[in-house]
Amino acid sequence: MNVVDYFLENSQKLDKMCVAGTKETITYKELWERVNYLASYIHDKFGREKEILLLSDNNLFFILSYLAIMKSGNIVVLVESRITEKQLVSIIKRCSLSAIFTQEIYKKKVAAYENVFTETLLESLPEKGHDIESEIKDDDIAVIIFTSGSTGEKKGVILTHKNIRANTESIIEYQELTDKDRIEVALPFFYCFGASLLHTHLRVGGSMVLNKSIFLGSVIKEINEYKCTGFAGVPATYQILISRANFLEQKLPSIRYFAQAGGKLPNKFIAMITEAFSDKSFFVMYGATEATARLSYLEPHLVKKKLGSIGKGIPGVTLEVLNENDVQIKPGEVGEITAIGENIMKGYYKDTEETNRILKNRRYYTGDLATVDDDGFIYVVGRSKNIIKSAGYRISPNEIEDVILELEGVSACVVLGLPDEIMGEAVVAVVETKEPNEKFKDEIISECNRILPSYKVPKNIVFIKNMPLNSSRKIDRFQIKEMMMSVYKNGEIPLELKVK
Amino acid sequence: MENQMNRIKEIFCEIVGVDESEVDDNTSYQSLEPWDSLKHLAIVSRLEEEFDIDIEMDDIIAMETFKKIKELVGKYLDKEGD
Repeated sequence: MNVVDYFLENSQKLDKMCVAGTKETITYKELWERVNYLASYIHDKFGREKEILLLSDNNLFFILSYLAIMKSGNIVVLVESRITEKQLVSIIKRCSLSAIFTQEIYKKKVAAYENVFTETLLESLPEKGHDIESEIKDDDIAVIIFTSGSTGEKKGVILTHKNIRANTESIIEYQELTDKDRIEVALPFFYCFGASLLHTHLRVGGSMVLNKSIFLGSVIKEINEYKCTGFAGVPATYQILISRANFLEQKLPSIRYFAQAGGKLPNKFIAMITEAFSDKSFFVMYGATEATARLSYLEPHLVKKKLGSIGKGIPGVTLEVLNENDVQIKPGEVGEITAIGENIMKGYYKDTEETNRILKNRRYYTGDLATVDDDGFIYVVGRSKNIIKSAGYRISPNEIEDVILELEGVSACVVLGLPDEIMGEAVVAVVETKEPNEKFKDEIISECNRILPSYKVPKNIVFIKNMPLNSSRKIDRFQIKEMMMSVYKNGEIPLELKVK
Repeated sequence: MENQMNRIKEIFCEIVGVDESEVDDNTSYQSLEPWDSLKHLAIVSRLEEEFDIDIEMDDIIAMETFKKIKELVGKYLDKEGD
């Protein structure tokens, strides 16, 4: 079944709001009609199974184009809207694009290409479509999402109609989403977590409010004004709301739940939020673009008891932590998180080598290291690629980061290894704080000395005012490492790292 | 005041990463692509630090054009002078 037919199977005739809010709004009935007009236009012009790039922020243009391309049996190629021209050109070269759908404001980035369509196409479409053959095979490709790899080169994650349907179904089940739910969307749809919000709410016939403000703090007003029942964010979302928008002092009476994924939110912030909003559910979740979006969640009533855990596999996903011999680890040991399920991608676009490295016997190897407790709850301890090798030890940065994050005045922390002639790699911590000074540096080192074995204690601390974030709003470890390497080459490490 | 306005422009351009000649009163969040929500937060933090002010949430949201940034920061500077 075409995933768009699945999304709108029960809601296509509804006369209720699909997208609510101040600016662009649309009902389900109108959405279904307009998707069909556009899909038949695309189908007539390009046929089927063609790759079509979509470059847009969250708006009606994105939603209509995204759904119509898939509905017409074609493939959506998604990239972040503020992608650099260099990266965009490299992706366009790698793909065989038949057309580009771009928001007017990004048109200049693709000026050199043919078959470019913007919002003006939607206005000029005939108010009539015709039936097209939208039936597809489950394994047909629906979307290719280009996501930042750990090396900096973007990888194309290939997702099928079946992948998206399976993941949507699971998320709806464990979050108990219904047509009464309305989500405040502050995550971009070109990012898998953002896309999952769109998918699930379409399927249940719920509604969405798209936040377009320059400042995230505005979500609080919108949640209250439009009576949203849900909100989703990555760690940075919650950290910014807490530090800049008095988030913890809000009542938010309409909210039923908060969801968090996209990296580890430090325990102290999870505790603050669950304390402040004891009447609401807080979902801690874990996932990957390679898994469409979601892989695990922690049941909200266990958040305090299992603080710091990513929970267990979502319905339909077998999530296991395996050692080097592919055997499940015992509690307390460390292994790699692996997953089997219908949501696992088909592979990476034109990269068989990388696909074969992480997909073996239908099992996806996430590259994340974790341990489990006696009840089988999973705790991420680090990225296998992030592991620091120092003085013969293998050190996971997370444990050190957790110690530093507990200190007052620290809002974020990244621990990494820098080349060191004697140690192999030296442990260095980059600490986000408003007040960088030598005294604080000594305090951090002494706290680490108190809690950690000496080989894990950072040899140096560098302060930073604001961590650089990538397009998924996660701390950009790659960029931090690059910044550190560039100052490190010149000899001594400065007290403070300045973002260029 | 003029010095302060020039300083606002310097800070804005440094963080957004554009030349001062590219920015005028009409420059808006919608029209200037490198000005994204993360840079916006960095701009706000730097302005607060530079002028020793605390910018309220509604004002951070309203700073959608360069002209608005100057006006709103000016409002805080006027208050300080009282």
